[in-house]
Amino acid sequence: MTTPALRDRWTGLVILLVAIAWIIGSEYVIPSGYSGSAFGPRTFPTGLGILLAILAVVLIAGTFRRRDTLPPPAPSDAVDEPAKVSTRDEMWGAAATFGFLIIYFVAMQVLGFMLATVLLVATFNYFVLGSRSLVTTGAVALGLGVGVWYLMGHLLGVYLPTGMLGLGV
Amino acid sequence: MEPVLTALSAGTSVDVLIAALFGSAFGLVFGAIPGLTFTMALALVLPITFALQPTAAIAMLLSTYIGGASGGTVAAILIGVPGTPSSAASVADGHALTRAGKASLTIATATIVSTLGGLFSLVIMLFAVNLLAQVALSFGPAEIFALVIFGMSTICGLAERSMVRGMIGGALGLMAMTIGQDPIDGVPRMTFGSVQLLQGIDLLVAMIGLFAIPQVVETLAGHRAGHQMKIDTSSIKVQLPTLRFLFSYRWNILRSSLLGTIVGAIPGTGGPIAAFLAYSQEKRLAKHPETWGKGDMGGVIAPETANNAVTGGAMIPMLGLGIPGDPATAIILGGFLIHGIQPGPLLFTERPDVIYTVYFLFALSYVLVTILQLLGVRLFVQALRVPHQILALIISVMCVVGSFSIRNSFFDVGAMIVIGFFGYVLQKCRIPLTPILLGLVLGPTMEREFRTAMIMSEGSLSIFSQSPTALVFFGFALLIVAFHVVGSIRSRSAGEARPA
Repeated sequence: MTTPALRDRWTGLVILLVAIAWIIGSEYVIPSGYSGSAFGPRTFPTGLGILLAILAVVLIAGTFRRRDTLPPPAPSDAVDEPAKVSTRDEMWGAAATFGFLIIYFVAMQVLGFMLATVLLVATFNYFVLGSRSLVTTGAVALGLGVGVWYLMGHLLGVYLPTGMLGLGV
Repeated sequence: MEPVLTALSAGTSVDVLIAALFGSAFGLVFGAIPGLTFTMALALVLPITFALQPTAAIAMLLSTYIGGASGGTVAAILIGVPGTPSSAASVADGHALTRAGKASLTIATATIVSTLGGLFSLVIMLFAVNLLAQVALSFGPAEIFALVIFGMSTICGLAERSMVRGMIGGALGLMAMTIGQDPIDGVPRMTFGSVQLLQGIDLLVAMIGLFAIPQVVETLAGHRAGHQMKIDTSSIKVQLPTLRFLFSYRWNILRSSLLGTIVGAIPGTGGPIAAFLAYSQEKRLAKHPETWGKGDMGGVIAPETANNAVTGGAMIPMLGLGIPGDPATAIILGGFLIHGIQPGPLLFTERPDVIYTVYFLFALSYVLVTILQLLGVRLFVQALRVPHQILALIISVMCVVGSFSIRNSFFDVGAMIVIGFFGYVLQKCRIPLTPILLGLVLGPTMEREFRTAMIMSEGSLSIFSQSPTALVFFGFALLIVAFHVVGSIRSRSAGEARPA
């Protein structure tokens, strides 16, 4: 279990490192510009980096000044929040979401919009989300594929990827 | 008169009406479903508007916004769970009225007062936006820069409990927007040789990633944890209130409308704050405050009027100054920008027809949303029954297709996923996403105006101290920061004084 203060300390530290990397990056990577003004292309990125670094330090300092030595609030405080999701479920949700997005992203480039959508939505719904009915699974996948194709591709004339294999829309 | 006629003819064409109808329904559904916000609805609708002509695009954005602002009521009244945070204040009395068997009357009354609140705010908006734009017309780069600083400080300061976190979000958003080609010198910044990054991070892609993806994760996590609402929707009808009944609440409606509009016009506030303020104000003024919270119609009318009056209020700084006050208007502003419309004082002199079109479509959206909600309440209630994991899938597909369709680019899809991941992680670390979005929207303006001011003054910062207007805005911004620092020190010492 991490206390909120501890998590803030880590958040602050990571942000501080990002800010430092950003400041170094903006000073070395960005060309100095041609306008001759003291405020060139580097001014804003560097200034914002310095601001972010200061804010990160303030955030970290705050965790030491707060009553962070106290134990985390008793479980009775959390009764008011019915939608409490455990860290494990949370991690599962993140893995499922980004897993789906990345596979879909790759599949669409290869298979094209229609095949990738129908196949992946059906597979994902049945095996990962635990849909029990094959009929609903199929209907949702087909409905989504055809529905989006009809709205975006047909009515609005938006280009949908056809895939490397050239298997249609 | 001519711009008005142009606006009318543009606003009544068939494709505009269809766009508005679609937006209203989309917003209502997203508003109705707890866990889905209308900010997300707007982010998802943006790529669709991309393919439309500007008037239809504005119609779709405004109607999605208004539908979303109105849609949260049904769930609040029927199942006691607010569909949007803005309708949280209506839960106590609304749900009590449902238990007393008055759901049909309550839903219809809430719908009608929502519209009254919204239309009232439109009237105020008509006058206020014009006034504001006239004042702002005299602003030069220095004043606009100071104004953006002030806007950012209210958003970081008012909306979030921790100003440091809000400012971290704002800084991150501003930093992300500096990636790409420099606006004045044209040199690449932080692109590391990538051609795609030269164009910078696409605002739409960032909005989709920030406001849809973290929600999808949450929905799927909730599904895993076994959350799914059971609702009885068998006996929903709409029973219109009589005019006499509505008239008996006229002062409540008027006061709540005014309060909602004013709160909406202050950047960084928004629907939930307006609704709770209106609720407590009307409860204080009520003849029988003891019945409030136990099923008093006044306790539904006040928050519902106010949270819709916010819509018109929030449009005031967005249209008049080009400064959005909340994520929803920020996305609408983004939608305007895609179509080459830059809200702000110049729009009033250069394109008055656009302004009138916005007014007209705003009113039209309210009419459509009201009709849809009164006729289709059963349909929207059905939306509450769709399993949430299916919704998450639909939204994921829309996110990918939407971010692809903007520039037909898989790079954008990848960027959307990456931004979504960062958005999710930041949210988990309690860094608010709203300031990030406003940083993204206001970043380019802020830098451009600052550097233009510097070029005008030949690099002297005195251009800011010589402008009284700029000084006033900087002063306000400082005041907000000081207010926050004092407040946090006070609450800290109060916390230490209390025995643990």
